[in-house]
Amino acid sequence: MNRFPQSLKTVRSRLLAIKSRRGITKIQAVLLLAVIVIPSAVGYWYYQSLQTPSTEIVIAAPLPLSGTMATIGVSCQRGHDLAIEDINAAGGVKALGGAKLKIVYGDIKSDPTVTTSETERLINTYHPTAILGAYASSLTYVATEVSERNKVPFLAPMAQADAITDRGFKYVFRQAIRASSVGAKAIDMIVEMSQHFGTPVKTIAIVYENTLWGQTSSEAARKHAPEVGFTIVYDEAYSQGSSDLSPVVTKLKAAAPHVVVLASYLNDAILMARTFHELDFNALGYVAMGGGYLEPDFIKSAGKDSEYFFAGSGWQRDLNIPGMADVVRRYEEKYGIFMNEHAGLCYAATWLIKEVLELSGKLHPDKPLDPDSVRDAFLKIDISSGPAVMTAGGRAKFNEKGDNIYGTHVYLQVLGGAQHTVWPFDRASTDAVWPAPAWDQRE
Amino acid sequence: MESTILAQSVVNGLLIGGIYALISVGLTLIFGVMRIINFAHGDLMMLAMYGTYWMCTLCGIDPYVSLIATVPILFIIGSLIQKFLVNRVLEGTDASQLFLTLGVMLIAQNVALLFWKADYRAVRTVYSEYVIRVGEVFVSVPRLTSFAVAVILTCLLYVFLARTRTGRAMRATAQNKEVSSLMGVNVRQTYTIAFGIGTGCVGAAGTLLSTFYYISPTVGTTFTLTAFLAVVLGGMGSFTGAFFGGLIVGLAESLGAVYFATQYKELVTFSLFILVLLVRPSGLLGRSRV
Repeated sequence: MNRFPQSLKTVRSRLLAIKSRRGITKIQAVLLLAVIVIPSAVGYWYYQSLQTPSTEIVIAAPLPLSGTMATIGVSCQRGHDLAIEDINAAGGVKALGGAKLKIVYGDIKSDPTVTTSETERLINTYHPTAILGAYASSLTYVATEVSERNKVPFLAPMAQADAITDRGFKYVFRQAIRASSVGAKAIDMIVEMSQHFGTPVKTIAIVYENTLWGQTSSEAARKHAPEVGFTIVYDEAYSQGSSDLSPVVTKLKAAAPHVVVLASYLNDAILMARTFHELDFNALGYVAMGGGYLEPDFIKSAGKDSEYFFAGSGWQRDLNIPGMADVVRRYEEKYGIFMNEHAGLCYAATWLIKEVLELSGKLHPDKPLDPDSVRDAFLKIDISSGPAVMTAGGRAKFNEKGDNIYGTHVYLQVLGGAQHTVWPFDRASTDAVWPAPAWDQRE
Repeated sequence: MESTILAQSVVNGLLIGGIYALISVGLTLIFGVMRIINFAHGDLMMLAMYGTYWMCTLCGIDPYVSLIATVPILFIIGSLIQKFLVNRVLEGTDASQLFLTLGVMLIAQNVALLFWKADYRAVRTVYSEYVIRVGEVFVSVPRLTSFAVAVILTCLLYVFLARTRTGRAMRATAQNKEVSSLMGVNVRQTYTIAFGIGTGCVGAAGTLLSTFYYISPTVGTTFTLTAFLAVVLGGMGSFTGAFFGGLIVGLAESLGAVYFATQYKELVTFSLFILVLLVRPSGLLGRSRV
């Protein structure tokens, strides 16, 4: 118990001893010097190492590398890393004398509060020319608040929420589709499928989960359906994470729509497909606006019941774009893992930044890295070939709001236990199966 | 068409209600005997679901056969929780009991998250997709089988409680633990068995549920809430009350979702719940306690 006061006493007596000698010994002087000089030297060297040489252009990427969205954050990081490697190997930004790109990551821990402080830190420490990130709409929304205040151009590879570009910000750009266009795309796809296969569609149903994403995406489908002559015979929200979806499917069956349009997260998607089978709900097509139906776990867990489901996606590994197969192969060899939408969109977004910097170098050779020059290049770019547009849209051109007007969805279909791009027809890798065979006709 | 919808909804409601009933019976047993509100109930079920999943995926054991393993394992887990954790707070305040079961809940969820990640999984068997058709009504074979097994297990448990010495000891302890201990009942041992049986029930429910439901670390939470609803509706601590409470909640959810908006199905269930409690404050089959 009294060990602590005792040791304090010893320290005190030693201190007194030093004091009484009126000065310090040589050894003490050397030690003192070492304690002060070495850390400051290391610190200075470290600080210097952070200051990048002028031939490098720094891009910051705040990403959720831990927390609930960690798996996705890591996929994004891999996509960025591969793109940076490819860009630098191909000679960097040529309009800027072959300047190399350097990417610095910040872990925003899937948390909006951390996102704010981490983005702030990245900007103050590295003074990046541009920022790529931050996966989820909610995180991107706060990260762009910080970047806009600091006048750093921000390119969001996949955040869909309309609000991100609806705030009148000058330096925020979005590569992917707007959430509110997602539903309209689904309707367009149904129209083309029904024409292509000669199966008239008159009635549709919309079934969606009742949180922000499901509501926003279904809204546009609801608005667009009557414009193409569809009658909505059933339109219902269900609470996300329901213990039983039989009631929804019972009603859906009674309404007997030709096609059902769906918005669900993964757990509900699994249950939905199973319940469709259990209650024998047949439609020409089961069309999901992305979400849980896109994830590999959907096919794994719903098994054969997942067959013939369509899902909208901003990227797919088998898109019919020159050079794409090579990127996918190298990614999968390097990381030993399936290249997914997140990695794909981040890969393309990194190249898009590079192309924007090329253009900025041409348009504003005096100050190519100035935020206003970069913004100007963003607004003027119109690119339709190369790795920067290995996306569903295959083209990038931004409007005054900062949205890529060619940001779109392709539709994939589960066929033989894997997803294949089937629409638009010119991007398809496989023929779609439409109408889906009835449940009791399947083997 | 209308009658088909009604029939289909009643079937759906009853089938899921049977599972709710088995979960609720376990919960009410623990509450009735020990006066402990077990928040970890659904999460113990989640552990059983993972057990079934791994036995099925790794060793190819049929989910229904795995009942032979999951029920005893959950019984042992439950007994251990009772013996080493719950026993210590039995004489404590209500708050410490609440925190204890909440703690077990958080630990179970996070251990599952650590070992098995947040991925959603599902048990697939040959009969997963079998459907029986009765007129226009479709009945999924795994749901029907699970319902039947759940009802049989509940009946067996009822007979056990009514007829055996241990069952009688449990009911005696529930009524008055001082008197029963004076009559020679080993109260601590009875508690351990009661908690074990309660978790065994929810373990069986988890295994049965996994034949047609997805599995994830947080899957238990929804079912804990539903079970509470059923237990309170039927009367806290009442065995038959919990059983019928489970069936009623299943039916109310199904019919409520079909005849009102699906996203408001909880509204229907909880309105019914409040109504019942207004008329019968101690639940449908609960005895009012002084």
